[in-house]
Amino acid sequence: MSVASPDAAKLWEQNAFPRHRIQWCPGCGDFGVLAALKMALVRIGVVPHEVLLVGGIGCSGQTRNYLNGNGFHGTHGGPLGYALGAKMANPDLTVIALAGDGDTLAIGMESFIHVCRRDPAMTLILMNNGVYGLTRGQDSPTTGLGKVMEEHTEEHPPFVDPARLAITAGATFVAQSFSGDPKHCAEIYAQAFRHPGFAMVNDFSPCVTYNRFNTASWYREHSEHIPEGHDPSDKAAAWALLDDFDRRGKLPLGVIYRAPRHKKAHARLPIWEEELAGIDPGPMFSVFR
Amino acid sequence: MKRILMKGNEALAEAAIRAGCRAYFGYPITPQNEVPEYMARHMPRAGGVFVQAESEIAAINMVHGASGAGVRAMASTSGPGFSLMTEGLSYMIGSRLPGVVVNVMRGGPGLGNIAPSQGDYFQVTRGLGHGDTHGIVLAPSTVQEIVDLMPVAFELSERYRLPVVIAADGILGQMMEPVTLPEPIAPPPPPDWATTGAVGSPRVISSIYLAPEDLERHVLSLMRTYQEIREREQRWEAYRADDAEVLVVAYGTAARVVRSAVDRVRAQGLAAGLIRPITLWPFPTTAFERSPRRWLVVELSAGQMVEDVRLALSGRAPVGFHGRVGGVVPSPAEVAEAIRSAVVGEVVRA
Repeated sequence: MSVASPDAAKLWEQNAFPRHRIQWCPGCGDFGVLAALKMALVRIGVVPHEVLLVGGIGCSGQTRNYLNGNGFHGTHGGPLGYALGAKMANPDLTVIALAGDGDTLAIGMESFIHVCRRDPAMTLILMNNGVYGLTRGQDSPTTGLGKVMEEHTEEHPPFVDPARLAITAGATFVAQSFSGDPKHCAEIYAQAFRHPGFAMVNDFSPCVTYNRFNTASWYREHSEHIPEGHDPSDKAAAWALLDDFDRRGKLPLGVIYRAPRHKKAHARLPIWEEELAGIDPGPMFSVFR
Repeated sequence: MKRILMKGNEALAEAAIRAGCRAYFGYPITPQNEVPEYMARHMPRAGGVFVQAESEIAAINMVHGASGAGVRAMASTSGPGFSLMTEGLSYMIGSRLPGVVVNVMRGGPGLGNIAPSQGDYFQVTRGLGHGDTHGIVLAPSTVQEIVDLMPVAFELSERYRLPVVIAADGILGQMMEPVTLPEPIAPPPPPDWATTGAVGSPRVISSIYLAPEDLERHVLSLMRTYQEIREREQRWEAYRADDAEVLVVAYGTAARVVRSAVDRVRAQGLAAGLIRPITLWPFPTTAFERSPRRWLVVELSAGQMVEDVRLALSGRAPVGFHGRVGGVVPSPAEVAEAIRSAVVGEVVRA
């Protein structure tokens, strides 16, 4: 990664395509994510051509349109697949998937689990608002956060907790942030981008239009920073922390779990010049002589 | 009969419940979101089940399962979601299961946009998944026709034991029109092949036939069903067609624009008419037995049904094409101009 030039901040301030008028509702939590992303990208010292932003389908997927950098927009549920493909093809890219809870945890659930397992060096910023906003307010897999559900039904099952799921599935960096505090988000994102494995940030990013329960003030009331003494490298401590916050009806903000990466980087095919340099192609052509 | 004002998506949901549908599965996608929204509220009141699935693949598999259990089941979606459902549709065809899927078509390819389109014609008429697949495809052009075709869809689907697709578009789904709703019917009892009992002879829903001879026999039986459908189920509407010297072929929303354009050019002395296919598959080839001098096909696509028209005519007359894509709907004046151009033999926009 290059060292940030004085102009890096300015580069990230520019919109990728000025023709993209911001479509979010006034007060959307995703504004905080956008501001935090700019801060974090400047902090880790990358410039736009070194970064690939993969957007999901949903309001959160728009984030990619409002940032400079390489962009990618594919199917609903597909961002982690595209991100993994891009990262494996071009490991030098800083790959960041930006998707919502519907995209990631419903239709994209299989990719979510398997990307956690593979643990590639890329980041997912999961903008979690507990609702499908773009299609006007249907329940999402994270709907029901903070509600006492006396009786779950097949039609209305309990919500999915992406943090617990990511740890279980093998992600090596699991954190939570609240987009109402962009400075804290930026700190978490920067750590996620630097993590040499799969980093999942569950960002509570309230929908002001369709989720009237999990509002910004609700999140403020129901979240707490993780205490300084927490050792994120200890998986048992991570579970105990989640259990403790659950018991108290609070959402932990900060790095919950960070494991030293133990997987080897993927094996690349010898298609690059330097890797082919030591290979004698002669015998391959002998049959044509 | 009481006429009420209803949005196309809501009318189709209500009509399905009244036709005895008791299981709905779907996933959010614009421009059909009013269907699941209506179903979520009204299906449980009718004693049926509503599930918002985790994806369109899951939704069609739930339809597959519910239909196999002998219940009238349906799903609705739009282009990108329909692509995902084609895997399940192929399995339903292979398993000889009924079921209704509504595709409220939007602009493509890929994510495209959420504006009206007829770009999924090939997919619904040829591409219901892999293998030798076909299902009956119904194309309404008014909200009332959506309501009228809903019970027909379930009946045809059960008679031939094949899925039926209703091909609507973003305009039909979103527009409001006055409709007369039929009296609700009670759901029919489960058919004798449904997985409702295994005493005596076990009931198995499957599409696997490992021995080539067995699979050939199975597909030949499907082909006989396809042929029977081609012979018996062609539906179309002819409008001012009898004395027409130029016939325009269009379906769904495009046909409504063409109807206005036909009236317009008729007022100016040009004898034009409209053939409006209601079944896109089987294609109503019988409507093409009489051939005027000129034909014109108007679609909200890059030209898909035009191929079926050319096949039906087998070169007997020249066929022009006028299409708008990307969610753009042509005006009656634009189509009238295309009809006049077709008559003088000018090349119209491709």
